[in-house]
Amino acid sequence: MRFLGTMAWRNLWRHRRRSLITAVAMAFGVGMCMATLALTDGMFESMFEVMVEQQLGHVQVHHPDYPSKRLLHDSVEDASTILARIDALPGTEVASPQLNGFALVGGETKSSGAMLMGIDAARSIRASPLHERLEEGRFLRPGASGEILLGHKLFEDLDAALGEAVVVVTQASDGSLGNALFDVVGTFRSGNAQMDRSGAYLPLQDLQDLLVLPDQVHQITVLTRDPGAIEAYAEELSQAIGSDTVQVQPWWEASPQTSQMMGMRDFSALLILGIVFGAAAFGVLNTMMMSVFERTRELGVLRALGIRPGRLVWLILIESFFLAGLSAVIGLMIGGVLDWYIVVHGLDFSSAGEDGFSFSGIVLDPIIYGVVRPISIAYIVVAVFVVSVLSSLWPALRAARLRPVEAIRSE
Amino acid sequence: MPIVTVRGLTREYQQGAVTVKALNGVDLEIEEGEFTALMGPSGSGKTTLLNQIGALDEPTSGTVVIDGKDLTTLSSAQLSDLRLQRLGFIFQSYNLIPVLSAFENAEFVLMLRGTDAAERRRRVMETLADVGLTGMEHRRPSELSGGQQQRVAVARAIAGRPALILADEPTANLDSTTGHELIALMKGLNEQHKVTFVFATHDPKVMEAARRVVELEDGKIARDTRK
Amino acid sequence: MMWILAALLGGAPAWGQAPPEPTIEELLNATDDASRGESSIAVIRMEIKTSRYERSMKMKAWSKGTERSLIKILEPAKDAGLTTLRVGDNLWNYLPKVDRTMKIPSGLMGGSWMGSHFTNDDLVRDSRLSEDFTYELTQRPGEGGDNYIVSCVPKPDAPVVWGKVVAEIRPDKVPVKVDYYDDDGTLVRTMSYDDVREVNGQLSPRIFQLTPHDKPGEYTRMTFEELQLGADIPDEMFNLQALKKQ
Ligand SMILES: Nc1ncnc2c1ncn2[C@@H]1O[C@H](COP(=O)(O)OP(=O)(O)O)[C@@H](O)[C@H]1O
Ligand SMILES: [Mg+2]
Repeated sequence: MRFLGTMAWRNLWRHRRRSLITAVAMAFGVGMCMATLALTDGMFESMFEVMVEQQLGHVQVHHPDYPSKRLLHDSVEDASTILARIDALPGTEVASPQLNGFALVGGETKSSGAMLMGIDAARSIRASPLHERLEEGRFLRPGASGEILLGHKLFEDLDAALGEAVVVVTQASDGSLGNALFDVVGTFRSGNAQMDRSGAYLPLQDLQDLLVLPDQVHQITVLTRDPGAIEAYAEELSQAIGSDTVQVQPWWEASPQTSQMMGMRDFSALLILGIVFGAAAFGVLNTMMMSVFERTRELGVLRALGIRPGRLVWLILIESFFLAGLSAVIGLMIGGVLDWYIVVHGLDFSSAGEDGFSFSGIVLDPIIYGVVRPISIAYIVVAVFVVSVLSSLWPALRAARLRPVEAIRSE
Repeated sequence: MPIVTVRGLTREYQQGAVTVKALNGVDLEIEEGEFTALMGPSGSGKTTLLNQIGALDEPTSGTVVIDGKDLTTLSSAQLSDLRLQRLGFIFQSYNLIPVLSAFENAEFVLMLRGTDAAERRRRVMETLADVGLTGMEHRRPSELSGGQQQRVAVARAIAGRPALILADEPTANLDSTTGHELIALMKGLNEQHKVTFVFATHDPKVMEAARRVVELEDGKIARDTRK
Repeated sequence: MMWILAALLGGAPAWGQAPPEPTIEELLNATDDASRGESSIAVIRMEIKTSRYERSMKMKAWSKGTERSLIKILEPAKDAGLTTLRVGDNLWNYLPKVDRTMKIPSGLMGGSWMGSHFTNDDLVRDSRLSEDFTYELTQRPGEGGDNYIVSCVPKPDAPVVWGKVVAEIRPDKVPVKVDYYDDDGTLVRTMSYDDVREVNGQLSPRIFQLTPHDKPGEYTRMTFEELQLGADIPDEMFNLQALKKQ
């Protein structure tokens, strides 16, 4: 079979120009795919950071009914005990509790409905980038009480001022009208429009008092040390907590939509590969078809000399395999340069949106930095070979089906 | 026992509405060691008959039996193997494989047969010496003259020591001197190695060299003379 | 819808007239009407039962005309002093603990008032059965029951959230109950009236109970412990400045 390889390789160079043009065209496809995949990988990586690590956490702990019903009463009780158990687990990086409630927040003249979120400032600083997303003022001070951090739109809507007090009125869990004054210490810009318009953070303890939900939280967001072992960690945590009324969910269960969106990573990769290599397939098909067609007589002679049709198929397939190899090598060089650029310099998408690159209500950094995953490159290289060989299958079968006499007679 | 036995062979071609009988009831036997010329005017069916004997084409009716095997009963792969093991071809227009050197072209059949490398080398070098191409092993067909190319083709055909070599007007593209040399070469090989040759020709010089002349007319054997 | 103010602010002074047979309009007005064009002062106990909590509040309510009312919580101590002011379509809450007044934004009018089954909207909605509905007498006394039953369907652009309202009224024009249906014809809640007594020479139910049908076992019951009609209430009572001083 080696001589088939030799022949195939020499045949490839018989039409140097044609083979090179095809190979370079495919190589550009490879390069573009590498760049696009590095870009989407980068985008999904930052989406993972924004949507999973910064919002959902790796693992969520809550009352089983809370995610679907979001009722005030579906809370996790004895939160401090549970928090202690989470902290005790070696896989835990940080756990951040949160209590949510709906309230009317009022400034001197205006009032507005708001989503209250009671947090532990010290833990939140470690678990979430919220404290970096301040527009004005400062973050909640760990241990302090009577402070509130407002979404920047909410702050504007209320005509509030830093350092001034706002009234928070809410229907507490016992039916009473919880109300208290909070000093506005700062405003945040999260990028999530709804949060910016109605979100307000305040100390967990204060909200527990206001809602009459002592030592209760609605969710605990946990970041683990090893994001690759979330499933096992969740299992372990669930056992450590050991309660029917407390559910432990990895992020993909906690937010199937996010999981779905993350699943689009593979889909989008396949889509890109499909488009680029769909085009490449035609190139290869054309090249190999021409190659077979103009060699009809020669192939007939090979048949007359006694080569089996099956080997003729191999001859053509090996030829396209070499073509693919050539394309892959050139493509990896082109793609390497492109990847280097987008990894080091990133691509600026700021023209796509004023505040950044928005994706389903989540705002990402407008400059996307590429992330090169070996698996993505492997996909591409495999795709080159598969597409190349598959699309020369037809020319190869044509070659095998040539009738020797007619092939030799043809000029 | 003859190498080839042809019985009642008919091959019809459809040319538009007309049916052309390229072969019309041919009976022929070819014995080992023969040096047979297939003569006849253009269109008399020489090429068609060679293709039938060479297992490259199927008859309309009648049989071709090689090594006791009726070709019509063999599969495409079996026919390939038969050609590979038992037959050699020389074409009018050389038909060398352009990407292979003289050596590799001559080696090709042995390669397909899976002959081991040392044996291959020995046989090819010997054969190239026989056809007078020593020192030109590494030339590609495009670097050789017509006569040299046809010698490579002869080397390719005989390197595997086939039972029968079929040559279709091997001298037609060569000038008369070169053509004559080629005939002498083939005759020499026939005598030296007992290689059986059947060649189509209308070159009188070739006819002179032949020991048996089969004359075709309108797809039928008109005369069959042995010298 | 006026009935809640009727309930909160002064009972039904027009009820309890003797025969002759009332018109449907008269029956509905009797159900709707409270101190329309008059003023009232009442002390009300509100008992709320939900699956999560039970709560009892005592409140004092002032009303003047159809547009203005003020409700101040007296008990429990934790909530004492909480005051709701209504002027027209606007509602304000005064929060004594933080000494602030807050207007309830229109977006939150559907929310519960003080943890009860009444919404803020119920406090300000001002439709009248006899004006905003087309009505039909579906049963007279003696036709399968002792009372009148009037079925009311809102007129196309009436400010009404219900699909249908069915009122059961005694021959002496004292309401027995009112059923509220949504647009799909599902019974959503029922207001029933009980403990009919004579106040200022008129028959009037002392207990109003609101039962939401989508929350079994829950209700909000109001009992009028005191009711004074025609009292002279100064206009200054119903403004924001005065809210704090109550
Ligand atoms: N593939 C074909 N289709 C139609 N007619 C053919 C074909 N091959 C040969 N013929 C016809 O068969 C006859 C014999 O042809 P051929 O064997 O090539 O003759 P020769 O080799 O003696 O010149 C001729 O009339 C030729 O036109
Ligand atoms: Mg011919």
